[in-house]
Amino acid sequence: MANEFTSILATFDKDPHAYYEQLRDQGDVVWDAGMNGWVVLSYELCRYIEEREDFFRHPYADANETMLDIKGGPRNITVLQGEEHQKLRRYLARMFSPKAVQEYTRDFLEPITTYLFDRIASKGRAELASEIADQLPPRVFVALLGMDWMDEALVTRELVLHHAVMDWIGGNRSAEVTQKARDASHELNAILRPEIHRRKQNPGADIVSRLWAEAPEVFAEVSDEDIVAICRELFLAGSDTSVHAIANAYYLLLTQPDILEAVANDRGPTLDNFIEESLRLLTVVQYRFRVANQDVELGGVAIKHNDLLIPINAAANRDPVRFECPHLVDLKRKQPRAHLAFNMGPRMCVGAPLARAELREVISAFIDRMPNVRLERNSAEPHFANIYTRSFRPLHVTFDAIMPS
Amino acid sequence: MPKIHFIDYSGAETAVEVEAGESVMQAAVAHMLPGILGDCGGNCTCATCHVYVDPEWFTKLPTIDENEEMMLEWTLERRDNSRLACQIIMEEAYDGLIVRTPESQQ
Repeated sequence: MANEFTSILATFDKDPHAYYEQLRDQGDVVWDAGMNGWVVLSYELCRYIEEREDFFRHPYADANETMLDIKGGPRNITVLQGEEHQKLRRYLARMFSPKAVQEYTRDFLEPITTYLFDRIASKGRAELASEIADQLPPRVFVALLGMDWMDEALVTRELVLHHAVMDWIGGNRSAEVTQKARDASHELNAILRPEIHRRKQNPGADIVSRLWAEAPEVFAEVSDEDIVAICRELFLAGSDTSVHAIANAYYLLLTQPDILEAVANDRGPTLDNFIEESLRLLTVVQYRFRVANQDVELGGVAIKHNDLLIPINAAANRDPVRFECPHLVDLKRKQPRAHLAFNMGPRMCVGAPLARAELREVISAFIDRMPNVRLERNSAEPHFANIYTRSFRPLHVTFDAIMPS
Repeated sequence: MPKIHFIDYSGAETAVEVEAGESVMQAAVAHMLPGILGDCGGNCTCATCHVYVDPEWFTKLPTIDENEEMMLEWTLERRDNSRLACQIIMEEAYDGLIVRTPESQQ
C-alpha cells in the first residue's frame, strides 16, 4: 500500500486507514496538496482544533452564496457562528436529548425497525446496507418532520438528494458536483417548504411545529426560510450519517463472529460498548474542515493565518497514543465514548443520542430476526465505500427465514 | 491544589487534585475518569457531564444559570443536587468537593 496514494482524495472507495498510518509516520500534521490543506492525524490535535473555535473557525464562517444555497440558508446551524450558534445548538440539544430520544424510540424507531425487518424476515436473504441501514434514519427524520415515513418515493428521493449535497460538503467542488448539490438543495427545499408553511397554520406534534412555537426563544424573528434552513441540516445530518454507521456496525458483526456472540448475549453494556467501538473503528464522517484564525504552530508545523486544516477524526480514532490496540474492537475499552466520531467541542453532533438509539434498535433486530446470518459468499464483497462519509457495502447476507405467524 | 472526589454509580471513588480555575469536567476528562464525557468541550451545550454534587457542597457552589438550567431539564435521572460539571469552576474553597456520576452516563 506504501506510496499508492498521494492525497486523501485518492482513497475514494478504498480503505484509507493504511494511508492514514503512512501519513502518521510523517508527523501529526502533514500537507495534502490534493486537499490544499494540512491533514491532522493525532487524537490530541484533532480534538484541540475542534474544541477551540476561537483559534480555528468553521469554513462556513466565510460562507459565500454557493455555500448558503447548498446548505439551505444562513440559519442552518452549521453556518451560524458565535452566540447565535450556541443558542440554537443548546435548543436542539434538548430536542435530541436522551430523554427526548426515549419518546422517539417508542413512537418511531421501534415501529419503523419492525416494519423494515418484517419486509425481509421471510425471504432468507437481503442486502442490509440498502434494505435496512439506508432505510431507518431517513424514515425516522421524515416521521420527526411530520411527514409519512411509509412514503417510499420520498424516502428514496431524499437520500439521493442528501448524497449529492454530502459529496459537495466532503470537499469535491468540481462544477458538476457543485451544480448537482445546488439542484439537490433546491429540490429538498421544495419538499420541505410546503410542509413547513402548512405546520405554521396547523401545528401538530412534529419538530417543525415545535420549531415554529419555540424558535423565537432562539431568534427574535423567524421566517419560513429560517425553519427550512434549520430542518435542512437536521434532515441531512440525521439521514446521511447514521445510514453509514448502521452498515459499519453490521459489517463488523458479520465479519467477527466472536463479537457478534458477545453482543447477542448482552444487550446492556456490551452492546453499548460495541456501538462506540464501531463508531470509533469505522468512523462515518472521516474528516472535518477548519481554518486557522492566526499563525500557529501545530505538531511542529508552522500553520499560517487562513490555512485550511483537515482534522481526520477517523485517523484520530485509531491514534495509538490515545487508544490501546487501536485497530481492534475492544468491548471492554476504558472510556469507550471518548472517540471523535461525533466530533468534539461546540460543533459536536447534536443528534448523537438519536444515532446511538437507532444503532441499538437495528443491531438488536438484526440479532433477533436473522438467525444464522452470514455474508453471502458469491455476491459482491463489501468495501469501505465513498470518501467523506464512509460505510462498508454492499452487505449481501443469507439467514434462516422466519415465516410470518 | 483543591481536591475533587469522584464517585461513580458503582461506588468506586477516585480523588483528583486540580488547578484552581479548571472545571470539574476538565479534571475528569484529563484523568480519563468514567461517567463524565464532556462531549461539547465545556460549552454547556450537551449535558454529558451531568453530576450529583454532595448536598453539603451543593449550597456552597454558585447558583445554576439559565443555560445550565435549560440543559439540566433534559438530562436523564435529574435530582435536586444535579449540576453540569463543566459549569463548576474549582476554587481553593471547594477543596474536598464530592461529586457522583449517574448510571446513564457510563
